[in-house]
Amino acid sequence: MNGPETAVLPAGIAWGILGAFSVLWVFLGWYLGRRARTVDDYMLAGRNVGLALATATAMATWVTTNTTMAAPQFALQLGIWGMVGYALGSVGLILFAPLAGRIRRLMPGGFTSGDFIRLRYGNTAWRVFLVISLIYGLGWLISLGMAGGVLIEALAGIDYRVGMSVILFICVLYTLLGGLRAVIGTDFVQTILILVGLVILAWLVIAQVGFGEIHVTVSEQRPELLNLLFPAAIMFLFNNLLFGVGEIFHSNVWWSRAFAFGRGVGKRAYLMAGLLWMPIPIVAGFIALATPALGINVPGADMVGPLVAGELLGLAGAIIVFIVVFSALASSVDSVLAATSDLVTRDIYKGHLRRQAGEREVYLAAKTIVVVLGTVTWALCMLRLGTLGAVLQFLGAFVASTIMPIVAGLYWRRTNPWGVIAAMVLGTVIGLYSYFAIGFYVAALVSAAISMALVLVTTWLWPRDFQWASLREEPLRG
Amino acid sequence: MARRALLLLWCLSLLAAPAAMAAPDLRASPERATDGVYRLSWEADGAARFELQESDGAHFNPARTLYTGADTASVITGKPDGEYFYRVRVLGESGPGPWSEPLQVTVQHHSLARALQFFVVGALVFAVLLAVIIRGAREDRDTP
Repeated sequence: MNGPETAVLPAGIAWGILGAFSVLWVFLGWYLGRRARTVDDYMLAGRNVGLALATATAMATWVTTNTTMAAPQFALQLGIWGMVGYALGSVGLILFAPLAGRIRRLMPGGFTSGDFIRLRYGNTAWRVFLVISLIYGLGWLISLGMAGGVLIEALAGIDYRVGMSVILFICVLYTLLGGLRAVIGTDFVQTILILVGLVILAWLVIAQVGFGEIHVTVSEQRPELLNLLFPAAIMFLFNNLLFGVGEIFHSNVWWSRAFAFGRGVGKRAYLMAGLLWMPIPIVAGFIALATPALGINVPGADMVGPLVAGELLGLAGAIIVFIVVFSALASSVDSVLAATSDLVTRDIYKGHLRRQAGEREVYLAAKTIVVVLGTVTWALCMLRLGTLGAVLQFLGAFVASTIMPIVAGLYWRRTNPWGVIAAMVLGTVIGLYSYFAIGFYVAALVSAAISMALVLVTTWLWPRDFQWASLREEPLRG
Repeated sequence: MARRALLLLWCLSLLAAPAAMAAPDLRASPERATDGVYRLSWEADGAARFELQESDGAHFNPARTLYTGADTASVITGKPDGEYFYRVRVLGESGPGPWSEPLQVTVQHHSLARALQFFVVGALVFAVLLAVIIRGAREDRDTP
């Protein structure tokens, strides 16, 4: 078997936890979403989400496979800089704070990030952006589904395909029932569970393993992990920062929240969520460095977090990790499902296929698309393509190419639309080339740099005027 | 008829006799690592436990046992530049089987100069991004 030798969590307990929390999420999804009748209600939670819920949903959505499963993987692979690099993922949330305020002001009736690109840069740029955004949405969903399966296999020895299928089914079900209102409500509960669980876990780790022993064994057996001049890790630092920025700036997950949060809430919510999120990958990543001290064999790099926690902390630790990671996964799967479904519904179904569709039809289409996306994700997760980290970082080449087009589109009146199209296409292509030619740790960085250079040069040489009032158009409203 | 029966018995006895343990098939991905990370995996029909060893030379003298157990893969990380050799064998009920052929993995990290070039490019992109956002947010705040 490629899985771990011994599972710490008895399968019966794992199924019990899974069952209990699934019932809780589905009930909350039904309860919170029972009054959603309109498209605004279902997709944007009535556009009046307050600060506490807004901060919780931003944070819970960003605490995902990145932090709970892939952060330990990168600590194991890239050492100290791997953990720090992941913590820099919060920069994206912090920098999105001022953007969220501006988005709300420029587009009070907007629905998706696709709306902005279409109105700001035209149809060609919109289509390029949709391709990037959909690949990213699907890739993120796949990595999340995979994380669910890997987690259950690592802790309880339950077959990857079974665990992954159950988790995806539950998330599709409650997202379907309540829309964004349910997603945000469950995110609040999940944030509290994640924070409490991580605090307990950190306390247990510090109490049971000494820093000295970890340092000695890592220096002897895996010295590069402590080397501050570790070349791949140095490349990874800004790569991961820009990957996080690209994910947040372009993704409809964050734009839909900017539209859903009440007036003046988005800016403070994203800033607070970013600052609260920053220490989480350090805590989650640190435990991977205990691997040599504990003599644990790691069959797959993405299994290291749950394996160490289970080995180190026994049944109690395994239960805490299971609840924390399941909450983190659920809070992200539902958010990405809802936001990607919005994008497909508004920008592809309504925007390209059924322009005359009324509000009721769009509402039903949104629900159908949640199911279709869930099914496609499930099918691709069954193939288990690469490790979590590899799947995630592959997407960096796509999303980082959208950073400068989004920022320049929001703040500059003279950004050249054709320069933006070239930036997204060439940034992605050259970023992908770097992924294969050099390594995953440079894909987003190269993509962002190429894209930025093209936007700067074309806007400087061939500026195009734009009227901000055009962003207030709502031609695709259902 | 009796000869056929004897032949059949002989064939059956061959099937029932304990087969000699074969050496596992050991692989590394990648075999040349630029970040000190690679995954070793192995397989052998019907084997329940394995022993994995690492050494600096193909003669495994000295050798270090990295793992003993039922897993069929191991991720190695944090290795400095160098040549590393691995071998694996089945631990059967009747004793250990033969070692696999030694597998060589080469670790050669990217040069520090190359890494710093990417670092500088990343820092520059981030600085420009920060400047655009700060300036834009300031103008946004000042606009009624």
